[in-house]
Amino acid sequence: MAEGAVCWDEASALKRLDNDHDLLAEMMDLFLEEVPVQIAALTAALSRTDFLGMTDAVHAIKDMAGHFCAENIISLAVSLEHSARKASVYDLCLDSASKVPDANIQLMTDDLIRAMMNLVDSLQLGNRSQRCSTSYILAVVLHPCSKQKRTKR
Amino acid sequence: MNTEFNLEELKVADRLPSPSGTALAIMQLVQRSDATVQQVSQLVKVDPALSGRILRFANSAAFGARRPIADVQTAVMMLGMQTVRNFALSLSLIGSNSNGHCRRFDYEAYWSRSLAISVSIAAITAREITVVPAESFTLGLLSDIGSLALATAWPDIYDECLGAAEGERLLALENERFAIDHKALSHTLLADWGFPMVFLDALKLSFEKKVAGFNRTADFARQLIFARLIGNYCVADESLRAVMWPDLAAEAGLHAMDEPALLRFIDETIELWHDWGKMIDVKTDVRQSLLKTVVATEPVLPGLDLLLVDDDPMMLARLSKQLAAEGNRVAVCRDGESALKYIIERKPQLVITDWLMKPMDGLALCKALRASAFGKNIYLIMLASTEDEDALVEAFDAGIDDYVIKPVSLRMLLARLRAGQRIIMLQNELEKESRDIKRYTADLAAANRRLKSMANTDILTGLPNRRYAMTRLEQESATALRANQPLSVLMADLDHFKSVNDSLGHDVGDQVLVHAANLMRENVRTSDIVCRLGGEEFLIIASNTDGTIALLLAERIRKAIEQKQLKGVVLHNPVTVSIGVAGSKGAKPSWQELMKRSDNALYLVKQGGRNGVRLDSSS
Repeated sequence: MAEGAVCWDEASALKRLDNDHDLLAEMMDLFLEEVPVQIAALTAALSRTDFLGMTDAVHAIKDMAGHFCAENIISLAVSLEHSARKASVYDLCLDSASKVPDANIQLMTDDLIRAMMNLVDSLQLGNRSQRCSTSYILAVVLHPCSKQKRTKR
Repeated sequence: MNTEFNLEELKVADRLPSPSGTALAIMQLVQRSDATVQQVSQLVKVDPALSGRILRFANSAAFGARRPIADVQTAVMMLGMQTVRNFALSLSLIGSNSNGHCRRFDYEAYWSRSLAISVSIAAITAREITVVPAESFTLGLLSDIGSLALATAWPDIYDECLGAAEGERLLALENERFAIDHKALSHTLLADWGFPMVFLDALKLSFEKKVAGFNRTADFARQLIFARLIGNYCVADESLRAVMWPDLAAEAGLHAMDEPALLRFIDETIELWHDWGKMIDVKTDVRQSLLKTVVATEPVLPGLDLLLVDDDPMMLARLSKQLAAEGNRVAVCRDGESALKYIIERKPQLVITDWLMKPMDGLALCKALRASAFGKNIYLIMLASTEDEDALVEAFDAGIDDYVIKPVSLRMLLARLRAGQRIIMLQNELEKESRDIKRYTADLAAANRRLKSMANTDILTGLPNRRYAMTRLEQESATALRANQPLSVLMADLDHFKSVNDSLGHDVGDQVLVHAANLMRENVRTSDIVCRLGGEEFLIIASNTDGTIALLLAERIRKAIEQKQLKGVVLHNPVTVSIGVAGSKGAKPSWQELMKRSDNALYLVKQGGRNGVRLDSSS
């Protein structure tokens, strides 16, 4: 999907809300508040190679995107949730020293976060009350996990 | 509490609001058929405050006074004795119940509102006459007396009820705690105070939302409903009045009043209300805000008490808005643990929960609820993200009643809520039925116990009666036969008792009987059974006792009665007793024969000058 393209279905989302524009605006606000929290949870889980923790965060992201009928995010989330769950089962068979984030999972996570950022941008275009800027979210969540580990130490 | 409601018990315990002083005297006087206007006027005049108020009452324009009335007697004549009586009763209740111990019961607002109802019902009945306005005035004043009575009789429990109740639930709670609600109690009390039937019927009818029918009672009931709305309007603050206005205007239509006329009417009523308030010491500057009167006016709240549990704030925002728009009362929690806490405290009727949540997920919440007493009847709907068969079976096993697949379609969710509501209603009906059945069963058991004990007890002396005596003697005889034991009976008869009754009357006769019965009870051993066979005749069953010992027992009783004479009554002869004794061994002779022999012995004592004892010769 191209950057900045509309990645959610306003008409379907509104229909689900009985065309209640106020409610939609309220939910956008909530979404913008909640996005950094869930993405931070997702990247933190990834950096810990906590796959089960990742499935929880991805599941929450999927639900959030569902309110805006953002089909692209939903399908990305479904496959990442699936992979992370599989990885967590595999994970049980390994000892903690040999835990390495699956390169594939890392990629999928990046894709999902990028798609979420896209949605945040689209929503903010349509929503005047910009409680949360994209740059802020990016600052919070979009740094490579290796760097995060280093800063922690 | 949950026992049967017993008005008499409460009255005896002096726990209900009750008239006092002059009002009580007037009530007692008017109850007599030969009471005259003069007598009532005399009583009223004793109380200057009451006299003034009754004059003002009689002169009130609303009651159609055409010329000024200056004296109490004319006022009483004009108003009628019943009205004066009820008016005095109301005033005395206001005087003695202007405050109390029930914390959440607003005594000032209660009387203020009652007075407003009272003034408006009088004015309404003056416009379209169904009953005499002066009479309707007093009914208005006491039309909600049941609330006050509950607050007076059970201040603490009622306080709790008022705290827990919201709208219609108050009536249910009252029924649960007191076996009666304030509406029914109002009716009961007014009936007890002798209010006319047409008032009582109309009051009962006025508790309905809509009153059909076109007779005097129905007309008056509609007037009462209208007056109640005006009363609520009077004590409401501006914003609440604005909320009430449409209902009031609609109701006014039934009484041929358009909005300008209604406004005028209310202005006049409020003015009269303030006047009356000053005169009978009821505050009329009470203003209730929206929240308080929601409890007082009991609007019908449709919909369900719902709890939404989801960790997705957007889902909570969306569903709580959409479900509340459908008339439900919606609360939200963000995880299973806080939901559990909320459910324990507030007992919602239905819970809609997400599946995946932290720290406690929807599945664990359902399991926890189904394992507990408070949660086993709550209707549970799960928001599921999958229609995977294994997952759903697991959810149903955990105790859900239904599920909705995400993304949630409101139409589908509402349809499932309606299905849930049907189940909840059925469940409530069942629970109420089983509670009622339990109550009836308890009532019936108590009634049966009372009946049984009444059937076996002599009311005057409290001793077992003849029926019991014969059954018991037969049983004792069977025991004596089995154990080959002795058994004796003592037949006792008070001497010259007929002359006591004839010369001093039955009241004294009854006193003598009770006195003698008590002495017998005090002087027998614990194993002996004293019964009253009838009249002045008593039977004492002495088990495991032979004739010789029984004779000693008889002598002890005789002596006690001779020595302890009844005090405060002058009798021609002192109270004495003659006793015939017969004994058996191993039920030989039979108990019937034993009775006969003791009777023979008694006869011989009576022949020989009374006040003596004698053992049957063959015993």
